[in-house]
Amino acid sequence: MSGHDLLGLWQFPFVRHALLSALLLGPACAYLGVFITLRGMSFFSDALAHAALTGVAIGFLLQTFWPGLPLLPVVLLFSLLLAAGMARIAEKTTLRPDAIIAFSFTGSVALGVAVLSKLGKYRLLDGLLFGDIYASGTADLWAEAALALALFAFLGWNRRAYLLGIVQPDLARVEGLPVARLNLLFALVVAATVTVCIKMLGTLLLSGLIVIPATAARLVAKNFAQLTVIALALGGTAALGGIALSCVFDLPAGPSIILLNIALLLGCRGVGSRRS
Amino acid sequence: MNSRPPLPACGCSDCGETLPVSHPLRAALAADRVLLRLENAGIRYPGSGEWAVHGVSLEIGSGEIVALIGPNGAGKTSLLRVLAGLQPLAEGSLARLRPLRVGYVPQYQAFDRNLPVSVLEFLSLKFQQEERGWRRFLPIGRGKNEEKALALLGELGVAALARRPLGSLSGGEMQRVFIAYSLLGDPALLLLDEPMTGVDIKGGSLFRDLLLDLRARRGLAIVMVSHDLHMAGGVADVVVCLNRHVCAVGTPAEVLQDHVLAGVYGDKKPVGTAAMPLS
Repeated sequence: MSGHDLLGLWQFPFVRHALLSALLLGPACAYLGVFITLRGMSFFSDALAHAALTGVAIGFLLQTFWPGLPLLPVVLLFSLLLAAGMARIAEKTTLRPDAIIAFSFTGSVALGVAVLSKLGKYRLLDGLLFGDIYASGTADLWAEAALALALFAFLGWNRRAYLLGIVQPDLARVEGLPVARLNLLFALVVAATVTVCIKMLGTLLLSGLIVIPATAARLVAKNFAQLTVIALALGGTAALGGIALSCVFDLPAGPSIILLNIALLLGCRGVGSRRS
Repeated sequence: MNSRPPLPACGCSDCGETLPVSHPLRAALAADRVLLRLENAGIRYPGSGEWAVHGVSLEIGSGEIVALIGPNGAGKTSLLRVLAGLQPLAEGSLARLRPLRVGYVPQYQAFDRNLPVSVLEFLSLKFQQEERGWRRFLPIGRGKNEEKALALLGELGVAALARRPLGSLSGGEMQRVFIAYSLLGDPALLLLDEPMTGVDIKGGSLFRDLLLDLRARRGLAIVMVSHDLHMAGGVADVVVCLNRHVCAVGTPAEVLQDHVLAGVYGDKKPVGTAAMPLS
């Protein structure tokens, strides 16, 4: 496919929607990823992404009683409850966070698959696991734009609290910052992101969109400003480029985005090791 | 858990021991000098509910340097955390006798040493609330208070660290940067928890000079927890010897006496404290 042909794809609404979706979510998820990776919560975002499958299954179950019920709020509510539940268990017990995450997400995925199976919707599993960014509609784009705006506003506004919390939480507490409440809110923001983005990349690949750009950026960044700028650039490039790759090589969009992210990460590794 | 526990056997005469330990108590400060006043304060360890210290009455005056000393588990850090507002009192009262800005330098900076945050970026966090426009949300470009942070690093003798990653600093450098962060809030009281951890002998001497200099130029009151009795003796105006309660309060010359320390530290009494150089 030539460059001219590629530009010609712009006339198709589903391609336009997919590119806009990538442009909104790629950088926004990368910015979230900066904080997730610095806070050591990569596994947490992965777990929430997987567990969102159960939210969808519960949504389908509720639709048997209320046929018009939209899925998105149900998935969001389930993800929020799961995130809050994991945070609560971590606060109230001596269990290690990785153990809490592991049993929470495997348990909820098992429940989701069981419910989907009983509802006869097992065939929908492919779409839920891998997503389909080309299916983004206008309503999805509005939701994604709102999420991107909310992510930049929330994380930017609370940057001081989260970075102080990473370096030394007591410094944040002495300054009167509500550390516990902000930790809970952070978990809820991750849950909301997963819910909105699940349609784009599915539960299996979604955390890659969040975590990989920041991880790659960290290989070359010398300070937080560089980390942020590079992660945003990589996130946007991989999301847009992944869609272009999927069009050129007739590949599914989700895996194309993640594979391009991995290629960029390897490139950053090369640059980083040459510097050192 | 509401009743006061029996006094722990710390070895001093308050605990019923027969050792000849003196308990010099300094006179009350003039009212206009007092920044903080603890009265009969009791603190419990979070979680276990055990008493960390109790019965502590203490005044901190403006411009004075107070060293909290005592063996491990004596309640020094718990007391400092109460002064910082990080922990509540289980009994007694803490009065801040004037509007008081407090700077706090914690004991451990156990963060990821590969954290990609420069010293200047860390210090600039102090001013993030004052940034306007997109800088409020993204850490890009020059912050309007960077000059102030750079000047402060210069004042502390570590201007060359500004662009260095926070995690690459030595113990002494890290202490100065954390003190710089605290000073950016223009505190009247600076609380230091074990500031000598990871600092070598030369660094300790420089650090002592730094504290005296800060007090002289800024009129700061400083409360520091220290295991280093030489440091405490060399820099403090007042030494508070703790062992789950106040065993002795006074000048270094009054408190850092062999017979006092023997009562508190027992067999683990630091060697040679009687010959300690006192300022």
